[in-house]
Amino acid sequence: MIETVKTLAKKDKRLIVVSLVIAFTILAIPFVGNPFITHSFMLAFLYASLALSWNLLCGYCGFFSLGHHAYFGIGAYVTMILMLFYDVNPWIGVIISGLAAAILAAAASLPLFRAVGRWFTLATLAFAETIKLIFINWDAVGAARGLQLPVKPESLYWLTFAGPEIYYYLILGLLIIEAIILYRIVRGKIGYCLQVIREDEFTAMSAGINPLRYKTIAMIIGGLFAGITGGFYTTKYRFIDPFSTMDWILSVEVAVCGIVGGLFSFAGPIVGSLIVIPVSFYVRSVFGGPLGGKFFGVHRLIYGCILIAVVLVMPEGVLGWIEKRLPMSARISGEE
Amino acid sequence: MALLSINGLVKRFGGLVAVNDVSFKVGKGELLGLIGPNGAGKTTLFDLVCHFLKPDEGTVIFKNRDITNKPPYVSAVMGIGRTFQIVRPLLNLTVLDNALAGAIVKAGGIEEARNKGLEALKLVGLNGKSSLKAGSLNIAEMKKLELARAVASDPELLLLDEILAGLNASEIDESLKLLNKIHESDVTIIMIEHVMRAVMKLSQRIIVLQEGRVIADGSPKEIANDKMVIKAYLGERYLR
Amino acid sequence: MQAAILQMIVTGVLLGLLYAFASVGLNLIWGIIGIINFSHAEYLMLGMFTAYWLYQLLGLDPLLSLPVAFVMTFLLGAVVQRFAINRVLNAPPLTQVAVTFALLLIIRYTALMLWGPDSRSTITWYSEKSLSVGSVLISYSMLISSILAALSTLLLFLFLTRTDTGIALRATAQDRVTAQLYGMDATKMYTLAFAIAVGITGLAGALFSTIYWIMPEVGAIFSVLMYTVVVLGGLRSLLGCFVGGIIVGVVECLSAFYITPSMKDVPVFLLLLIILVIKPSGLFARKGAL
Repeated sequence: MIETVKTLAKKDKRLIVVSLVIAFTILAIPFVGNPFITHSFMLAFLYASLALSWNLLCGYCGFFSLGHHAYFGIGAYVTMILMLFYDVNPWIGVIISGLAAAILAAAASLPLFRAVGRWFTLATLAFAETIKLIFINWDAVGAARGLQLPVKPESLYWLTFAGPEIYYYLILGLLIIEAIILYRIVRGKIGYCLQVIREDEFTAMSAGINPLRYKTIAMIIGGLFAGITGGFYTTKYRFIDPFSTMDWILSVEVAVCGIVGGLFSFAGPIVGSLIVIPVSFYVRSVFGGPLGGKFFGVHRLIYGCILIAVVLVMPEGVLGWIEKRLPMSARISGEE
Repeated sequence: MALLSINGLVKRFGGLVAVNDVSFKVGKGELLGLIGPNGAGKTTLFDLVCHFLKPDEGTVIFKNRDITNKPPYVSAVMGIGRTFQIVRPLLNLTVLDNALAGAIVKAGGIEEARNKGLEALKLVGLNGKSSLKAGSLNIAEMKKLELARAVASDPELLLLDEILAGLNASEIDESLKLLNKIHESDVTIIMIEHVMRAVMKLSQRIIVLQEGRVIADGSPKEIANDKMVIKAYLGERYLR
Repeated sequence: MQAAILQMIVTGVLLGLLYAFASVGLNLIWGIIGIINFSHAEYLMLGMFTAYWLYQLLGLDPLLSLPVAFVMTFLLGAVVQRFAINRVLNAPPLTQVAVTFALLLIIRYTALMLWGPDSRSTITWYSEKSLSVGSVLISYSMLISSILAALSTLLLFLFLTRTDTGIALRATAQDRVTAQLYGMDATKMYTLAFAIAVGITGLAGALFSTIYWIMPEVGAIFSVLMYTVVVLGGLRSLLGCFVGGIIVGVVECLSAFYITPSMKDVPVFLLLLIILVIKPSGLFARKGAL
């Protein structure tokens, strides 16, 4: 996709203008829109960052994980625990969150990758649910009650702000940095090897690629970024419990974002998140909050509908669909 | 010192003994033909050398190191390149991306691998199609691509499994020239082949396998006159 | 102490029989059609609700609603297969997972929307009664449900092995192409197989309605149990399904007793993980027919 944009940009100055307009709009949202819109897009960026790190294993390597949210949850908890019990600065906290999640990812890879094909997805689900169940019953970290950060005065040092505006830029910044790092990884040796593994693991091996090694790398890098994202979640929401940070629906949402946007392009997960999350946020607020009556869960029903529609009608996702219709062949050297 | 030394390899599949106590040495720079009737165990032998299969008995020594029980992805790094009887190109990736697969592990980065891939494609004559999808190639081109991938890894030993199968006469001649060229750049080659004239013409030495055993090992001329070989291929009646 | 363990084991076995029966459908779909139906537990939930509403509206004993539960889920299954599953039979596994997952979301959250999150139960004349065998108490409901489950399995087994349709289904499972060459319409077979498979699970749901809380999200709990049963038992093995079911039932009951009831499914999860990693083909896997 990026290649497409670059090559097209050379040919069509209008595209540069459009890109700049989009960039400007994104940067301007907190100033122009109301807090509601700002919040929903901030959430979209959060999911985008999760979807990007998740797609490293899924779109690029062919392993559909429904346990990615476990790393997010661990990240959220680690930062919470550090801030709540040890007064650690959140900026440091999120880094440690990332590392903790990465370590968990490394440990999880060993058993998980022994499960083949569709069983892998099931195994990741079981893995993540086990973690959630453990946290639900673990009193020292709040069990089902959750943990709450006390109210603090606004400060950048403690990453505490009243409204969603600053967090908006913060998460956007995270997304951009993560995107840059992941893009370089994906266009390089690691990304290439992952794709070869996805295409044909046997051929990959005969070419000298050690599949387990690269799958594990993808899992760890994905986990690392998911953990950091989780850490930032804690700083914004200040309350976490196993249900909001470790529930499998999170992975489903991430997967929906990825599939809608297009798994096989780099920016697909981002585009998907920007579409799905604000819509879902809107639906949820219109039909009542988490404890609101009969329409609780409507957004999940909508996820199901979107998912099945996209998969049956537009399996390559929004971005893939657009790319197919572009005048110029976007495929330079198999890397999408 | 032999580049490759195979000692007493045995491989059983249930009751069937596919490879039955095979031993031979291959010196650096040789061009060895491996022939034999279908089912003689030739491909199985390759699988054992490249550790896609584990031998029940015996050892494989390459460059003085015992590689018998290594995992499958090690052989490419160690300097063994291989093509397969049934080609398996990565259909959705481009021709270049297929070729550079061979180079990626040894290369420092993707750029270097890409360059090596292009070189390999040039060698086999496919560089004009480098940005096409591999799925659009015909069978002869796919075989060349497979060869390019093996060559891109800078192998010291090249194992070719029926690389001439399915090609017409002119394509075979072209391939023979190519193989000669590769051989001249100091690559040791073992080729499994059924195309007799190619094997006879190209090889310096031929090993004949039948029912998992080595029944002959010598120059093409010796092999052509070997009684056991004639019996194996054509049957008893042809023995004078 | 020993009495308690014995109690747990007996309960576990009976429960396990029910779990096994509920999971047979999943095993069938996996075996005949070749996909993992992630939405399978939702049909159980639908069976539970069918029984519940018949009980609530018509005063029907849940066990009498078995045929209705079967038919309703059967019909739904046929529709789902024809319009959704059939289109992704040859698609990459990722797509298949996505479709069945989407169905899970649609079924579960439509139910939630229609019926709300509260849990309900059915009360019958035998709800509170138990049988005592030695030191062990067996609730009537569980006993009756288990027996019916066992009977239904027998019927299923007979269907698959003695009737023409059943044999045709198994043939399609073994080799789709050859079956088609012999004139069997694969789509029809698959639709039938899927519908039967989910129908059985709906029936199992009705059986569960007398012993379990009925709520739209019950699928979340059951799905893990069902996957574990199927993975433990292995592909295409009816016997394996039952052994798997009993193991899961017993593990769950013992966990509830030894750890805490709220953690009773953690060992089952772990068991699933372990089996997936060690022997994903299951304990009884064979390439042959059911």
